[in-house]
Amino acid sequence: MEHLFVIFFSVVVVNNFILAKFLGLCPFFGVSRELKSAFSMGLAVIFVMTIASMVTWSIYRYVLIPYEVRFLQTIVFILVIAALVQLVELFITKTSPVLQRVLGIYLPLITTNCAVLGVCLLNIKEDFNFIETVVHGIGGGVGFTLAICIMAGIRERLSVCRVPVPMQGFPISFIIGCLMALSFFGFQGFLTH
Amino acid sequence: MGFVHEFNKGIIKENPSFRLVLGICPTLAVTTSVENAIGMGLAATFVLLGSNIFISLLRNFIPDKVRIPSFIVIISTFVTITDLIMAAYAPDLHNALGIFIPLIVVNCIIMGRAEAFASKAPLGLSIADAVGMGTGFTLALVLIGSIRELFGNGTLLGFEVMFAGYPPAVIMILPPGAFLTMGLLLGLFNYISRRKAS
Amino acid sequence: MNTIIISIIVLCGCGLLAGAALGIASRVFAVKSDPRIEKIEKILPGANCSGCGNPSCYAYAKSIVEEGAEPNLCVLAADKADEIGKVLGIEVTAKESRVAAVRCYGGPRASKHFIYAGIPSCRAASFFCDGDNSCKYSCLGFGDCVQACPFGGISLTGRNTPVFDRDACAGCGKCADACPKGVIVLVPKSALPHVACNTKYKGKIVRILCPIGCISCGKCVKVCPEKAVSLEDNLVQINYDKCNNCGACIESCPRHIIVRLGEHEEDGAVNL
Repeated sequence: MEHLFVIFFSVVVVNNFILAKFLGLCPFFGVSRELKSAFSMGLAVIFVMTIASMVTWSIYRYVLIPYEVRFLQTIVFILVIAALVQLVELFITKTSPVLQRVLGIYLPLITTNCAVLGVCLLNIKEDFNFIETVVHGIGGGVGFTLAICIMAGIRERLSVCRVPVPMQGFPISFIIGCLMALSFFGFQGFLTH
Repeated sequence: MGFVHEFNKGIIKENPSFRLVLGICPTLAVTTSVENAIGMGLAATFVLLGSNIFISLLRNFIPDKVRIPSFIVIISTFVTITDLIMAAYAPDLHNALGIFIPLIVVNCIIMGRAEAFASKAPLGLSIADAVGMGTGFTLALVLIGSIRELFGNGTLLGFEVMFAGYPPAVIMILPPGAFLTMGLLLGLFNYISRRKAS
Repeated sequence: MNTIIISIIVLCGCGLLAGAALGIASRVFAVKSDPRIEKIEKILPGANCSGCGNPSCYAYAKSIVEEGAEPNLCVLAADKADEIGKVLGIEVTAKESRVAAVRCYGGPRASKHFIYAGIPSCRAASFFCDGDNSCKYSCLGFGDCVQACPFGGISLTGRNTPVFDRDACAGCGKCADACPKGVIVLVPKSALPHVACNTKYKGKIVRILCPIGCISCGKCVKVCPEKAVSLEDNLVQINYDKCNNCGACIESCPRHIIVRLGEHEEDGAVNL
């Protein structure tokens, strides 16, 4: 139980997917203009990461390993993720219009997002069991949401500030990312291994 | 000539890292040293070349509805090939790059070029585009990698370059340094292109 | 050899499974959407400006078909209102377009009661004693409206009065929402007279605060043949439903505060 909490906490703040592992940077800079859309994107990512982790782990464990075709990992994972996101989109369009309105447009953006594929690959690399995989997936999504919401909040404030012209847009966002990464760096001492 | 134009386009005017700002994830993650940067750049170029060639050859056969999944399959095949070759012949590099080799599959540059260019252009131009973009990407990675390695480690490609007794600014090797370098470089290139425009 | 065969089988298996699952799902989870919604959405401009009050053009198309919303609310598609009508099978006439205009040309000329060196935003400035202009109903000129316009139809130099491009304006009202002073109003596009002063102060105070402020002399009210001009709270209001664009009020104003809509000098102030 305790080590599940350690996994969760470490992936949310210590090894934050965006700020420490560099996964999911494209939406981090792309969708973080408004707090509302950033939060919706974060929810969609938590959703997809959890389901994708569970499904890809199961396929790896029960198909790729027994038949000794582990090298097919990349191809199978990305296909499964793409199909899964499409299925999830169809499902929520039909069953929950509310959810569709909130998450709908962000789901296709997540398909080819390195964050989702990254978390699936990391699950395998770290050799987690099923429960640990699920916790890792949820934690990854929560960490992503945390970082993207903070970024959106800062960027909203930034819109009334005088940014030097060459730095407007991406450059200043990267500098903000640097400061955020620096502040999250303070959590490094949490893990003693 | 068309080829030269497509090739040059990828290096400066439409440099994938600094102008199009695509593929930021590997750009920041692997540029902790020049060696890693070159390795990743070459791997990505190989995948880009292979996938552009195949997609361009098959562009009239792939139905529109299954376009994206087909591209994904082709690209991931080349990525798996690259991954296995690196694991066999360059294990240190393979370990250093870690999960970012399989993540070349979802690198926006490769998917973007396949979608925007290779699926519409003939073979020759697709090759030129792939080599151009790949070279541009590699050069960008090497630039960032050199700055980070130089200030963060005092070395370039493993050779001691800074003066003796230089206290390395380790922050440059760490994530914050990556963001900082990229942000300042983007700002610099914005400034230069504004000066050129006016 | 074994490995090759197994990998082919595994990959084909995954592909077939994914294809089958998606095929079945697209049947089972199919959402029947009225084809008219898509047709109307294609006619609409797709700018998602919310001028009609809906968050997106698709949402507006949906509310037209499903909830019977007024089909002529979109200003950008005003000339295509009859096409929308054709899709629905009813007669639709275009609504009179409205454009945005600013009710204060005195901003740069008004006297200031302190030097403001804070965040260059109207909203931020209005937190400090309603802005640095002595007339607290005036336009502050920092350009929050310029930022709010989704069509780039407002331009501003320095802290002058913003210039509104009537051809680019969709009447969405985002600029009016963004203005903390409420000096931006929406007027009919074909209107002629426009009151360029927003002050509620009495005449003798206005003379001190602003060289081109309205002193509530009431000449415009007396001269209007349609009784469309009224003076409420020291504010001149024109009722555009009654106004016949004769321009008498424009001629009568001694301070040239009622102007021709869209007429603008370089520094945003009208020549005296």
